[in-house]
Amino acid sequence: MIREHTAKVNPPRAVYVPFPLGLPLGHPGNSAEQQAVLDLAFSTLDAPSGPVLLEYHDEAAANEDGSPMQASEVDLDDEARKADLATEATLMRRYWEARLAATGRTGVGLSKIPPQRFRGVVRFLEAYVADPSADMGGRPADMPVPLFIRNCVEDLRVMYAEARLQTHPGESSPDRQRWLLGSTALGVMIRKLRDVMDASDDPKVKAVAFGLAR
Amino acid sequence: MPSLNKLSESTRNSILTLPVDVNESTPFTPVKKPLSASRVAIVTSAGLHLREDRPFTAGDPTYRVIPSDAPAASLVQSHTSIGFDRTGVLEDINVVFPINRLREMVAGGRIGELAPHFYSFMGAQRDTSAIKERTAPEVAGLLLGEGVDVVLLTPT
Repeated sequence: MIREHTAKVNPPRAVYVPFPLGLPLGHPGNSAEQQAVLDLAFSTLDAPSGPVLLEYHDEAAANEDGSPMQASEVDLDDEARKADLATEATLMRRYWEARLAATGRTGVGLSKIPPQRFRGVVRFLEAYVADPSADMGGRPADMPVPLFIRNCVEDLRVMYAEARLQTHPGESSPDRQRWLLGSTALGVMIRKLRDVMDASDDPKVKAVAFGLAR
Repeated sequence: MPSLNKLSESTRNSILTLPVDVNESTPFTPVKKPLSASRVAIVTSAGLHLREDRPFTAGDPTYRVIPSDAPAASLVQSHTSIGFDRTGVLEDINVVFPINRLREMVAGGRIGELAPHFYSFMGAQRDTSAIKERTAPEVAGLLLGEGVDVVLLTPT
């Protein structure tokens, strides 16, 4: 929650933090930082009256980009334009599997399609771009096509991100984002899906387009 | 969260157009016992849930129950957005759901104990009326019923 919104909501106890969106407790792997934020949050319990609004100060974090770069800010390179998405996704799955073996954890799973079938997902997305009446066998019955597309794209994004964490540990968030949006066939596909869905007359389809890329 | 001038223009505009409740006054309940004797729960709006649970959809006012002993590997996040990089959560769930930190605090005697269940809502809500009228009071009742003294609220 941004400072301006917190001031309006006026909660009894709150802590402002300077970290990028998505990291309210601090940076991944930095348990000392996370604990310091928690200590400050729990210190609000000591106040006899409120509201209590405290600020966690960290100049370096405050100077980081607060939100990731968007597709419109990243130029596609030639390799991305030439790459075959199905082949690329299969390669990413190998790195993703290595990451999963090492950490025991993955964020893939929203589409309910196992990664072993992601080549089929890729073929479906390609078919959808060519003809938005396309559908995929195995799509969960309670997941309409627009939501299914969004979840498929998210699963692919996560698989790529986890693969990249495996091959490029320590890479910065902006560099990883630049790679995914500018140097992969997935970045190309995300733009195509955004354009096709944004051209729809159905507001639910348009809403998904807005969430895929800007 | 970051200051507005550190957000991309599209994210800044998206956040600034979110309707926000304006509260002139603040209810305030002093705590009755020290943290070291308190039962603590997390309620998050990060859209986290058990892998087998139904994913959240945009604007979904419902909630999911997460057992406090659930391993991080059993959780996924269906609050997806191009407004933040989810890789941080993929790397370390404690950046939004500090379960390991709280377990350490229990082990060190700084927190009395963890509640049996934590609760999760979807983020980026534009219309919070169903949450305010129905699901939030329901979760508050569950927390009270489980003897929770302190709730840590985390957004994304």
